[in-house]
Amino acid sequence: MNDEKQLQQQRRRDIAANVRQRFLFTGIFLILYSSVVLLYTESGAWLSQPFFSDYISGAVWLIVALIVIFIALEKLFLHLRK
Amino acid sequence: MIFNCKNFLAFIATLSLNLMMPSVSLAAGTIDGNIEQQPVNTTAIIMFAVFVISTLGISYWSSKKTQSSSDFYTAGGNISGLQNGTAIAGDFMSAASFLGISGLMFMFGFDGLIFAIGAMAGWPMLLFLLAKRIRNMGSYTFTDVVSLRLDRTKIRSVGIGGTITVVVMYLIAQMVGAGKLIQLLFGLPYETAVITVGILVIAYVTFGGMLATTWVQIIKAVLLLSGATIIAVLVLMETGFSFDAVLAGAVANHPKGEAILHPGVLYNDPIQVATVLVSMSFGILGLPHILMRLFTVANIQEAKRSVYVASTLIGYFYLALIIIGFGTIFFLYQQPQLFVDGKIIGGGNMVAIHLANVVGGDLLMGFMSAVAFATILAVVAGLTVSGAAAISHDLYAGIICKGEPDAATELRITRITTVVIGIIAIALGILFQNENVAFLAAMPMVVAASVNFPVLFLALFWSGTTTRGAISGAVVGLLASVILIVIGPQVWVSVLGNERALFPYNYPALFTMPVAFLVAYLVSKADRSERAAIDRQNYHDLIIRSEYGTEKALSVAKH
Repeated sequence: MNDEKQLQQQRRRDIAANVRQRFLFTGIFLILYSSVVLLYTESGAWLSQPFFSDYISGAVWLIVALIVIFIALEKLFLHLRK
Repeated sequence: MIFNCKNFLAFIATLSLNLMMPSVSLAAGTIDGNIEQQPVNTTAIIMFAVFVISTLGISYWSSKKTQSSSDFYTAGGNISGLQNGTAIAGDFMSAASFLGISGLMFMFGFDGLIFAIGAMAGWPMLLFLLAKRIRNMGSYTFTDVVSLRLDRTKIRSVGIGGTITVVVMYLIAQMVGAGKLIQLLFGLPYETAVITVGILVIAYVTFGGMLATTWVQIIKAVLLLSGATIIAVLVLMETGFSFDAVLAGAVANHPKGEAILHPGVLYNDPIQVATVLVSMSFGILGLPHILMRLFTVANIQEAKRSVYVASTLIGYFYLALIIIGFGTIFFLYQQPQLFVDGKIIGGGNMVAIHLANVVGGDLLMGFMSAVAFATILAVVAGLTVSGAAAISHDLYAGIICKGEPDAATELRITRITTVVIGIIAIALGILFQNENVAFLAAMPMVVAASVNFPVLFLALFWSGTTTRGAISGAVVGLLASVILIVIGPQVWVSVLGNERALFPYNYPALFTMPVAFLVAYLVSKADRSERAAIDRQNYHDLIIRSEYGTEKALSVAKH
């Protein structure tokens, strides 16, 4: 009976840790995602100029980077959850 | 085929915004006057005929494997993660994405990419937050998930209402857009196009269920990704594989010049951008036909893999669209024969097709036209399965039969419902032919974000959620969504003809979603009923299952 109770408690602790990890990933994602909105404010205006090329603006680089980062975050998440 | 000057920009902006909906929302109602039919596109029709024949063959094969409701709703749970992920991507990457984002970028440059990133963004959150618990808690639909915890009858009613609302609104926008688009691409009469789409979908889904739908979506995804890749490569080949050169040419050609490379041509209000991003990303998390796909695989590992595969394919697609979008500017402005009175033939929706023609000739253009049609079929099929499941599984089996239906009767009802939904879709498409349905493309995403997602999230993650609180939040979310859309630009100005909108944003989920959450929270906190105690206890009783699943939950999907 005690073992069963301990097992349940351990499971609940594990679940709490899992949920924290999920919310952490979600939080990181939302912070990155919100950078798109910054492009339309004064603080994001500097991304309008080209970077690493003559024409590819920082804004375009940001969109590309976000797509790649989102996929990488998912891969990392799956790896950590194996 | 020319859209008159007065509505051209409004058409591009509104239609293309709506075209970005994750499950293809084509809204053509902002076109003023009749669209003239294009000459019949024989190459496209032949290619499309090949697609239809092969997919009907698949539907026939699937019908032999679809012998139970479980087979119909979830393909027996035997789809692999890779297949399911590809199907999800096929369901999601619409003709609207391909044509609409390209059209937006052709007109406004960078700002069109807001919709690309918005459409991409729901998938990581689906994986991080919802996939596991939904898969472990449900069997066929997301309503199963919430009804496990809350009052089955009442919450199923909310779930059914949310599902049917989303499905019907999407279907109207889809069918109207399909009719208009097929007129443009194939030169077929509008009614013929709508009836053809409806009949094919009925054939696929009635006999083949989710299995046929899945394979139609997989084939379409492969075709669309291949086509997009070919176009992107051909665009880059013209400039020695220099994207910089593509942008240089685009800047030189576009009337707005360098402004197209950075934000501000279409949008300059960060709140406006935020409303779009929130509606799209959180809307995905509440779309019933997307969530349903989590149940078509054997276990949670495959479900998570599905989401990852879908996300990767969709991300790749939108990266290709960046090249295609700017490629349209680079190439099409060099083709004066494509313009009449300063406007591109066929309007913004045609730029990607024109580009396919310029870089790949008639063959590629015909191929992409056929793919666009196939895309519509795939998405309408997915919506139909979801709608049929809401009626036959959630309503008939869940509420009327209290969870113990006669299996054969349920399957029969499912098939009948599918036919009825198909007929309704055809009727709605013809009925709304000349109506301004642009707002109907915004509503599903906003409703999904403001009704379905809050209920789902709170039921899964907060022990304090009660049935009364969930229903209150859902009702308020729905009312807020409808009211703010009605008084917003799409309805108050475009449909009702007022001078100024009372609410300035087309996609109000940024406001309606938090309101729904707040109401659900407050009502749940104040709820002291007997049922509330049961609801709270259910969270604790089900927490282990929500994380670890059960053999029974798995076996239901595999049955």
